[in-house]
Amino acid sequence: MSGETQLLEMARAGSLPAFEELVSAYEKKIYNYCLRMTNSKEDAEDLTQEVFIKVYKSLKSFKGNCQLSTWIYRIAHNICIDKYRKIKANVISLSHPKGREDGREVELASVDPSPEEKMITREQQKFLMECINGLKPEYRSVIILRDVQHYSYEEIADILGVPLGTVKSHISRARTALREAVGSLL
Amino acid sequence: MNCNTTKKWAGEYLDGTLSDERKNELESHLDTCPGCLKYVNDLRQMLRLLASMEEEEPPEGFRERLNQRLHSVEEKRVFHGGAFAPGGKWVKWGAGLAAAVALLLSIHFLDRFGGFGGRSGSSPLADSTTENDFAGNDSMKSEQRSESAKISGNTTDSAQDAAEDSVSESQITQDPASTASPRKDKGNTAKLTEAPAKSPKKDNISEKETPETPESAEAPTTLSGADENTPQESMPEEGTENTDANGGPKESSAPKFSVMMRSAAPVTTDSAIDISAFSGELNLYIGDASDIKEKISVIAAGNGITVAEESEDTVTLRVTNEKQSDALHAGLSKLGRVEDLGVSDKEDTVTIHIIVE
Repeated sequence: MSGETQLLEMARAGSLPAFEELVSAYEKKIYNYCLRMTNSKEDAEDLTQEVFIKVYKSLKSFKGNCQLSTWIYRIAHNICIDKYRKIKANVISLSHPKGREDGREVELASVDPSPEEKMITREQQKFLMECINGLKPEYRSVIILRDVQHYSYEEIADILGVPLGTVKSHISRARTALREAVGSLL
Repeated sequence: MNCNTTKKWAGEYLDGTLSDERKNELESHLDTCPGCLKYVNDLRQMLRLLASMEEEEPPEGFRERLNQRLHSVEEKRVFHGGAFAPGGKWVKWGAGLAAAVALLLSIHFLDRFGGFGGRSGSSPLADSTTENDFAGNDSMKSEQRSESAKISGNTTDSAQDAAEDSVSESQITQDPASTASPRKDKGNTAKLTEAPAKSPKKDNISEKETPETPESAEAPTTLSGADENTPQESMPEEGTENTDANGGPKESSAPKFSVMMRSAAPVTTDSAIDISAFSGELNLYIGDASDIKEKISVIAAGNGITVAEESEDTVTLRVTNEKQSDALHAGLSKLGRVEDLGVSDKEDTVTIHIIVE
């Protein structure tokens, strides 16, 4: 029995410390997923807490048909999508992304970036996140899972509970949409 | 091959998952189409930027805030869950007891005010309650208790039938203070058990049922809010899972942690064991013994260590490698002061003696 499985069994039997140990294994990933989905640290913390409360309450319904990480991500995805649907907030114009009104193009970082190049890269990433935030949540999710957190197509299909083909087409469309949103500003 | 196909295939091309045939076709097109070449290069740069995003740490205090919420959920769960959840056996007992109290209260009032032929003051039940009165409780409460003990012992159909009606009343009249404090309820119910015990009129059945009374008395409190945070909450998302199980846990039939740990089978290992390095005894000095064994078990589980044996003040763990040994010592040091007692002659085990300072 792996350590995680053992902790899971203990948590399901009511051990809060065991659950807290499980949280420590996933909190950073889930927080970053929520952060990329919302582009807000406050919202990301709230949502991450909601995710783990939901996980804790639902532990007994987890049958082990998929990996625990996949299950937790699925809960995170559903909570983020729910949140988005409730507030319908911060949908920015793709043609005029926030903070880039001057239309200044940002240079790409080189392989071995100087401090100035690093700063430019951070600025580009910030701009990209704003553009991602303007995508519809389904596209946002696949971009984050695939291109930021590097999950495989198969893992994303498991997390979202959709066929592999759907994941491929979503990723392709999401990238095209993001590319168009970014325009010539990168 | 056209420019729209480029957009369709570009993602998989950059991911390296496009088939060789399509890859050749796409690259041939890129050689002749500057627009598509720019599109693919821009996309590559965008993906590179996304991939280079660093993970951020959760904000300071995140874990503390989460733990507070988890503890709050757990408190509700302990109070509302398990046998106390709707349909649980203690709820049924509680309903039965509440019904009995309501019924006997009615009988008592009828008796006192002439409903049963005007024998006011001559009821045998009324006599017994006078004898059973105890400090801090008025005679009316005492009457209800001793009478309910007798009736619940008889377990009449009428009492059971009346249970459903009396539950709603119990909900309405529930004292909010007692809802917030299960311990307070237990204190009260402990007194409840005293009444029939002192009663000279108690019968065998009521004595037999007495141990059930404390939990039964808590049932109305449980009912007042048992519709939320039940442990059986389902996750509809999981129903759509389409992957194989990964050694997942089965539904636990032994929910008590301590029981589970005691039944844990020792792990055997094929690797060579350095007894001198991974066998020993130590004292763990702590200030607060609450949940200490559970905390030790969590440290063990988090490092793949199995609990071999547990007694009142010792926990014996199977430690099979240096990494586990180091992690165990580091974890125990966070719980309290660790005193190494030296090497044990037992193979690959570490025995922890828990000492409360």
